[in-house]
Amino acid sequence: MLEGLQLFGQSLLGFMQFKILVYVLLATELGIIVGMLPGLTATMGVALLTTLTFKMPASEAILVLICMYVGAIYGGSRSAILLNIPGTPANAATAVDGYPLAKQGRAGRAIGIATTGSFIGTFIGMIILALFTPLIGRFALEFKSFEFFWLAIFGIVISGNLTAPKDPLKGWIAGFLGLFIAMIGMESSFAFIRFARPGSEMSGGIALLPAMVGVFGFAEIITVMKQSAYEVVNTRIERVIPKFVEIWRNKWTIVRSGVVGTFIGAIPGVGEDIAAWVSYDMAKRSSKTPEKFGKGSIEGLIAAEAGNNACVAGAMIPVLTLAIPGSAPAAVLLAAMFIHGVRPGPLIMIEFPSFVYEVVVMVLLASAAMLILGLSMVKWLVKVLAVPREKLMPIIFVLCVVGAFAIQSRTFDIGVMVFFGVVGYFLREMDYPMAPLVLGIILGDILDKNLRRSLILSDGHLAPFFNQPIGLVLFFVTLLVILSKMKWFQNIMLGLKNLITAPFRKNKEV
Amino acid sequence: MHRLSLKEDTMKESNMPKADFLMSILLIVFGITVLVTSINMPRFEEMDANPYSVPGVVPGFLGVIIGFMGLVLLIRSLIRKGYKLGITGQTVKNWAKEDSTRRLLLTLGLTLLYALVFIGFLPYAVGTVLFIFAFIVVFEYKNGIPLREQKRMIWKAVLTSVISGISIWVVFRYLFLVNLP
Repeated sequence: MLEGLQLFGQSLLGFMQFKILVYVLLATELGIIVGMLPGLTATMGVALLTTLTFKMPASEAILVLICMYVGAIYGGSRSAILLNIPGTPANAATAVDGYPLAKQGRAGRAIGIATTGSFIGTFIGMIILALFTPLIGRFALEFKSFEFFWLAIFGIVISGNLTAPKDPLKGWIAGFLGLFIAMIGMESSFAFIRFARPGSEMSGGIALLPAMVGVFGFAEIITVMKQSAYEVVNTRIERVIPKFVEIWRNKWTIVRSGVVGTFIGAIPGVGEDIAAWVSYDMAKRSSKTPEKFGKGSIEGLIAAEAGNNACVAGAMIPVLTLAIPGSAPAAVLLAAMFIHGVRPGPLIMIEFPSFVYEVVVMVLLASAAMLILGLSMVKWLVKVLAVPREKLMPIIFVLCVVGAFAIQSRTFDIGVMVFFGVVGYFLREMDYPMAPLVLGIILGDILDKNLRRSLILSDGHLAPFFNQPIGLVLFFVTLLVILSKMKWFQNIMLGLKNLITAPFRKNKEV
Repeated sequence: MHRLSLKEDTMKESNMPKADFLMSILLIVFGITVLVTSINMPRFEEMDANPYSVPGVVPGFLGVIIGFMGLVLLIRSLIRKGYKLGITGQTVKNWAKEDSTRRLLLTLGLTLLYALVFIGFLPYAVGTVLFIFAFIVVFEYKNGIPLREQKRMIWKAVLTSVISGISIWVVFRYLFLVNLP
């Protein structure tokens, strides 16, 4: 603990340079703009900045990316409040109460509350990140092939489940398609090339970044252009700085949303949008005035924004300890870490213990910048929203092409981006979520290595997959997640519950 | 939860079993293809390879699961009568007439033209300026008004495309030293 504080202090001092602080402010402001603009998501923003920061030193590049991530998730609240269009999917819950507030002429107040909520949410997430990463890192050291196999399956199943709540089967299909995409190209044991002609560009495999720019960038452009144009509302923005009482009155909502958001962030492939909805839902259920939700409830607004921003820090926990992303933007961040030579994973607390605390400091700096920038220059920045999409979307597409191409300088990657964009668009139209697909591309390699290694260790027997404690727990949780979505299982559980509670109910009646 | 209007949403709902039906067949065929390809992958017996470590094991496993999930989707769509596709000349006509379809096809056409044709055949800056210009003009052009009266829009599009295209090129190429296609 004390050692952690010392490393934290050292990292903080290390970042106290004029140049770095300027980077922090610029990257966060850019993030806010990216988040505000419908069609530009946090994932796209982080992916584009990865190409721009390619030549920077590792710690500066990752700092810039984290600032972009935090800024974009917060920035989306602006368009959610002012236009009723969430700037990123993470801010959909923000629009529910933020837009009614704007219509009542309280846009400035809503922006101020969203900013403060986001800041405190990030701060709570940061504390949990600092406390839990070393613990989970130590725990992850126990993981062997069997555990990693189950972790990969668990990640896909839970991500599919939570990102497609209406139809989890589609989430799972998307996840397994992602795992398959990772099989394309040369495998590691025999250097055999799977599902591609030797010597073709495909034989190098499908790179994560072009695929992600496709499904989160290009597909989003198509979606935005297909919809009818949005109206830019002219709302007068009055006082932005919130009253202390308003925040204090909702202190428990903020703390609850922050904790819930962080833990949802830590679940593989389940991102800010889900975190915001779950926090919002929990706030509504425990509220004294649930009838105000959806009509401009301060409580609802603050819950959604604290939840989605806390998720950012939470998503970093599995990135650092298991090299598994907690959300889609975190997947890009993970890829960027590998590009810059930082190898996150179970060994991180042994190999790079100071890096974990550097990330904590980066989150702190980004959230501080977000608070300062969020409460100032509001009137000026809102003008960005007046740029019509007909002018904005072609420019974003040009950036998608650059983003796909730049890292490896291959024209083939532009084709990958276009393919994933078009296919991703149609899959999204059919309600297939994209986050499990991307998670699958990352987990595919882990699954491939560890399933084969496990089978060699067990000599083809299945028993060892089920007789290790950690593996067994992961298996049961996975099974439960799948079964919980089946009607017959729900009925059995309901029947069981009635059976168990029946005697008590009878007693009461007597 | 979504920003779609109610009308669009219900239309989507009624078409979903049909989409699922087609998708499920695709998934089953895909799963079987992956499985067969995986079984035919080399086993490296001459290298004394452990039969559980050969390249086909994991993709084969994935093929089976994808095919199985396709089957579940197929059964579900059959129960919901998704096999009644009901595609007639009239439905296609209605679809083609919709404003959103027009915008979808235009977006796809322009972006694919830029990414797959302009890049590589035209110098980067030229292709980019041309693409941005074409995109703005195509979407801002108002039918029924003579071109002479839309001059202002055209000039604005020229200005926007030249400034943004050139600045993207210069900033990436010379400021951030990024390789451009």
